[in-house]
Amino acid sequence: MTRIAVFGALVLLAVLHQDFWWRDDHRTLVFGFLPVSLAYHIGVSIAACVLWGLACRYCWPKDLEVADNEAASRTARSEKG
Amino acid sequence: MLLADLPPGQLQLWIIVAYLGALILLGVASTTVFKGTAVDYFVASRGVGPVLLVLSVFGTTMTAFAIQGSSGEAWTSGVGVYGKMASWSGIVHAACFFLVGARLWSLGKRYGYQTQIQFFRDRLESRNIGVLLFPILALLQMPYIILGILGAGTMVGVATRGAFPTLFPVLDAAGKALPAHGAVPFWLATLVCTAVVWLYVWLGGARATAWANGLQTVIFLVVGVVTFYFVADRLGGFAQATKMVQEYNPSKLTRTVTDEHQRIYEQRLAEWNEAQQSRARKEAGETPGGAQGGGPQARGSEAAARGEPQARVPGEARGPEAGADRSSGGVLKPHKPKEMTELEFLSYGFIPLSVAMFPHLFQLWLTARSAKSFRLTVTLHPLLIMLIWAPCIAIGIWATSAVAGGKPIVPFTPDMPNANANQVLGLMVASLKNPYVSGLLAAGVLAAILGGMDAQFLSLGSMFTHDVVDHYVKHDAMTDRQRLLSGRVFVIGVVFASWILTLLLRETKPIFGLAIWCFSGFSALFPLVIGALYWRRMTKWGAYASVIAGIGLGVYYYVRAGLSAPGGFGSRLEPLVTLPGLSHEWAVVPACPMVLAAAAALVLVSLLTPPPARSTVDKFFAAAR
Repeated sequence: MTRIAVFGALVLLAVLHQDFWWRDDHRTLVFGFLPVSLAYHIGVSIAACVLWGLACRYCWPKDLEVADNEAASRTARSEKG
Repeated sequence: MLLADLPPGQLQLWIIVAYLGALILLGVASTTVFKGTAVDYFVASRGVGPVLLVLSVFGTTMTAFAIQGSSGEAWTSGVGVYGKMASWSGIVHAACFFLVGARLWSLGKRYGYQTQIQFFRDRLESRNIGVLLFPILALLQMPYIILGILGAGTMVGVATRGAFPTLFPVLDAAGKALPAHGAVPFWLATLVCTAVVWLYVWLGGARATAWANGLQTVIFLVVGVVTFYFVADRLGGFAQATKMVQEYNPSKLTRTVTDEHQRIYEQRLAEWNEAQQSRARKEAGETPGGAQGGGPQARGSEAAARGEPQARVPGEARGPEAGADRSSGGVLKPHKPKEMTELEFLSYGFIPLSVAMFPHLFQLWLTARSAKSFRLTVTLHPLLIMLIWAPCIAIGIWATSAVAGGKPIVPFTPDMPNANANQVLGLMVASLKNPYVSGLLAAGVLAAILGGMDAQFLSLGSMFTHDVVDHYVKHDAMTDRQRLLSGRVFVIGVVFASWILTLLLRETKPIFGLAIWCFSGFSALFPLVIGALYWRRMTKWGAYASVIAGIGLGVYYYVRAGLSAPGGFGSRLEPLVTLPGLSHEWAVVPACPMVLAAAAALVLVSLLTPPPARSTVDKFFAAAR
């Protein structure tokens, strides 16, 4: 369920990337100097950071953990040997 | 002697020298932990931790375009550049690292792969996939390397102007100093930069590359923020800088062109024309009646003609009416409003798929200590992109309407024949008249350029060694020592060949246009790698068909664009394509149809050909069950 929620949010973020609603707004400024469209996309970048962080935390592929464990045990064996 | 007393250009030179010296020191330091094996040389014994991985991957992914090109592109096309390039990259690059990078790392670790072609040979059960892939990967990469060296030479040349007037005089026939007078010459600057990169790659291989990229990432993040702050201050503050754009080029703050934008453009253009005529009349000795009796715009242009300072400078009072109408009317030629269609904006999402197939990024992925190391890279990459792109985009937008000393800081507009968008950031920084910031910018741009170049040299050396010499000449029987020696020798060959090619192609314009299209070429290979990792039914014939369809379509688009452009292949070929019979409204980046064609060919041909052997499927998918 968490996996669906996180990947669903990432897909939604990709959809929301198409911010046609600010398309012709040159007047609205965020913090008094940032054009609203630029501010919005800075927000998209921050949201991408948060969502990919959640994806790494909750949706990390199991087989990659197996690969890590295999690699660790191989390293340990070679160090012993 | 005080630093401030140095001749112009010398302080910048010493900052660049200090930066290059730091790179050599890193290379020397990396030898203290070098194990002397090929695996250590090519993939740092797969021991790079999460923090260094995030810095090195970011440093390699961001080319000079992230600093220099992004400002220029925003100056040309406006605020939409951030969305179509930076925020798309934040989402898509992280997806590629998550879905492709970490998984390729695990397979590379398990089966000892050091190049992409080694992986594809096994996965596709095709000993000769390299015959198709190697030339494509090498040819797509070479324009980047050459452009990087070109950029490095140009940047050093511009930054060191006036440093050594007796040693490197550049005079016209009448003995008058030209702009490049006293600058470090192009051949020498490129030779030194490539030699430094070669030296630390030779000394420490992938580890030195990762360390250098870490340093470079820190440098250009600092450069972006520092430049942003100083430029905003020079223009009278953040709010004033943006207000000028609202009043002179409002279409740069949007992706569309409204009636209001068009009206403002026509009004500002009329003011500019009037000021030009007034100036011409003055020069011809006529009474400037029109200008004297005119409104505030005309008075502003007179002030400009007198050379009175018009940009807000630090310490000046900043009223709401400051800067714009009162001082810059007629001085600034407005930019012709340019629309970015929603489809074009959307289609740019296909370009960042290219990172999944960059050979030099693959090389860096393999240096990771564990799959978990990728987590920090996946998470922080969008944020790092934002930190470097947002300031540069803002500077590019401000540059459209920035005035200093009664003159536009950027003396040309995109529709002028002498327009060079790549100079925009340099001109904005030059207006600060602060050699420390200029030197820092030069080091930052060099860091961005060299950060990509070192990994590219190493990956090409690795590909030559493993995919050509070892596989075809030695039949996969090279010893570790032979691989190490071969890798180092090929890196020398690649560096030298790249430098010579740069000198030869310096004046050849097609190389600039070609590089823009290379991203699309790498994107067209995305279905190949994603199919190989996630689709058991994918066959070698599907892979061949995918590569031929995607790259073939790209070559067709490139040749078509070159043949139909007024300046031929020498002009900047607009990286937008439309299907026959459709208008410009339907234009998309070439990567979009190329990726779709490659994916369709891959699926169709795979389904029509026998599936891969059971053992192959088990080898690559058993753990993912």
